[in-house]
Amino acid sequence: MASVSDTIQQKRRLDLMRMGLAFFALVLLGRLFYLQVIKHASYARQASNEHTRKDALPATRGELFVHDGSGGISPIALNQTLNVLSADPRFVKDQPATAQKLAAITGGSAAAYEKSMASATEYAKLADRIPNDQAAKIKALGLTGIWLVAQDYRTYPEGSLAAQTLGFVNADGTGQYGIEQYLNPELTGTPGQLSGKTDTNGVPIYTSGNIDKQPIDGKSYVLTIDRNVQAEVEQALADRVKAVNAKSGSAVVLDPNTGAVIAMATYPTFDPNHYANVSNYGVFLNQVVDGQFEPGSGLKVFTMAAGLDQGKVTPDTTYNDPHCYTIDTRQVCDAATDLPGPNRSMTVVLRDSLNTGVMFVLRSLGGDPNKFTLAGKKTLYDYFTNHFGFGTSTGIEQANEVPGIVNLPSNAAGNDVNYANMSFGQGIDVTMIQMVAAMGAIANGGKLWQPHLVDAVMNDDGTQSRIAPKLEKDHVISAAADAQLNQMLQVVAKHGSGYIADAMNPNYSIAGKTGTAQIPKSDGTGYIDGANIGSFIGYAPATNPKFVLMVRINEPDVTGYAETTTVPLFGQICTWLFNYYGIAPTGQIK
Amino acid sequence: MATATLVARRNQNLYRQPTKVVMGPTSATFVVIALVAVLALLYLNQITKTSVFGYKSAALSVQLDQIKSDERDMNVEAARLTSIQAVQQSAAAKAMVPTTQITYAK
Repeated sequence: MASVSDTIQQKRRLDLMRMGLAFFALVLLGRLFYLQVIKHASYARQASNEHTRKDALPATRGELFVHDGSGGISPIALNQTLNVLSADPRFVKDQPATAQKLAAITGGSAAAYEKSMASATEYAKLADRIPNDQAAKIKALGLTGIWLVAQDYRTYPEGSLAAQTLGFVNADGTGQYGIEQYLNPELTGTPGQLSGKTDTNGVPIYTSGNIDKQPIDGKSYVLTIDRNVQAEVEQALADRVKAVNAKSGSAVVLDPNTGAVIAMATYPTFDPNHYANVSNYGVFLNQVVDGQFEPGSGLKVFTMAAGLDQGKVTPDTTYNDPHCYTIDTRQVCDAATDLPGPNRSMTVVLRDSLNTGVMFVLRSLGGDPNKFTLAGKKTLYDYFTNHFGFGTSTGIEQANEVPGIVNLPSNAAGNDVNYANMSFGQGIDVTMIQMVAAMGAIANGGKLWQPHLVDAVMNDDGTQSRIAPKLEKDHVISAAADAQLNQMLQVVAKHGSGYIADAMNPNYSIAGKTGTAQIPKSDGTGYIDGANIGSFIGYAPATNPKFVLMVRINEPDVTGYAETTTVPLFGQICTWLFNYYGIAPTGQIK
Repeated sequence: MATATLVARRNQNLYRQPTKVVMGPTSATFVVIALVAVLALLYLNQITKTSVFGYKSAALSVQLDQIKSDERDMNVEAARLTSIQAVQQSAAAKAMVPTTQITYAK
């Protein structure tokens, strides 16, 4: 029989056990509270992730089309799913043999593949843009350590055609340069999302709880470019740049009645399908919109337009050419080959490209042809900027467009010397697209259209919604002044610096003006000796203009001015365009 | 003679004694379990059908993507074959001669 002390001890042990159990239960409860209440959201999320999958559904990038010259359109930027060929060298048993097999299918370099594998530890990218048929052959080989990943690529079926105008799409799918960059948000679209339950293999199961947000594809556009004109202009430009040993060149063709850009070319160029192979990034730039330059005598057209429109001069107004004007302590002169002479008319000023002649116009704008005045400078500034659009970006659908520089007449930079130089195209920076837009206004009788590249938006059903051209300003000069200037520019083409282009097209009326501009030094201390930019800007037929054309050759390595470097190119393109558009001969002025 | 008979007799009214169905607790449990089992089977059947539909849908999506990819390949190839560069290098274009003199009828 148990003693009293034993009974007490047993009771103590039981109490101890009860207390232990109670403590253990409390610990368990605490842990459960921590896991199920405090950490509820975290574990619920982890559990959900185990059987839920979220995928972004990429939007298809919009495509670009150009006119094909026969009333239809032709694709110039498309999308294609191709493959990236990669290797994990650790698992490639015989690297030389593998490289040989791959090269035999892709047409690539076996040595390059072998070198890539030898120099990498875990991952070696061997090639990209592998077509699907080649990818299938590679898969069939069953090579260990070699794999292919499908990837969407931008493809340009016309190769380098209009390369700077288009730009390209980089590896991240972002548009770079040209219209690809400018319209990137519209072309990219909006990605969708798929979020739903999956099976153990991660394959989505169709349930009502799935969220399926469809992507919105990017917009597709039809550009104003005519691919035939573009190809011809590019070829002619490349030939001319090589012929005169120039550093580069550019050309642009514009419809003066709408502002539509028909062709826009820069040479040297590149193939946007292989943009990564380019080492000189300068070739990505579209010189027509981002290459601001001092245009030289081509700008005399617009100084003369101001004088005619203000009624300060007429084609027959004469002045005595002193060869140089002394302004402050500086002498601003005609070209060295020009001689002084009396009674030179404004038509002769343009024909012979006399600097003092347009300085006379600038003086006349101020009311006194014997001195430069602030009023004259203000009037010229008003015409350059508010009438013809210099100093402001045109808004053409191109990345990196620059506005140019037109000094204000009221500040130090816009002094008399500067404005004297500006009147004949030095000391002012413009772009070619500004020049052709302004010349278009003279060609069409006074309407300044915004130059543009987008002709229409493609609808889902394949139809097109045209985008109306934008009229920036009407009556930039009066009809009378316009008619006078038209005649004067025909004289320039017939008897002046544009005579070669005229001679190449003896049955057509051409209006235009050359420009040979010095190139300023980068440190602002004057101009580079012996270097120039030659240009010719004009329109044809002068009696009923169908196109405005500007060509520019940078730093030609031949003797002579623009009349020998750029005018033949202008004439050659004109000849082709007359035939292409089927323009009947118009005759020329005497 | 007992009236509660089912035997028909001439000139006598016929009637049936109502049957009293009484379900005990065991039967009720069994019925509930059976009903739950049937409903569970129906539910599983529908879920399986939905899942199968999901797999079919996924397979069709893959097929659709493949067809779209093939279509894009063909569009690109067609564009390349009709590109200016391809046309200029074609035998037909090489056989052409440049225009020399164009006469316009007024």
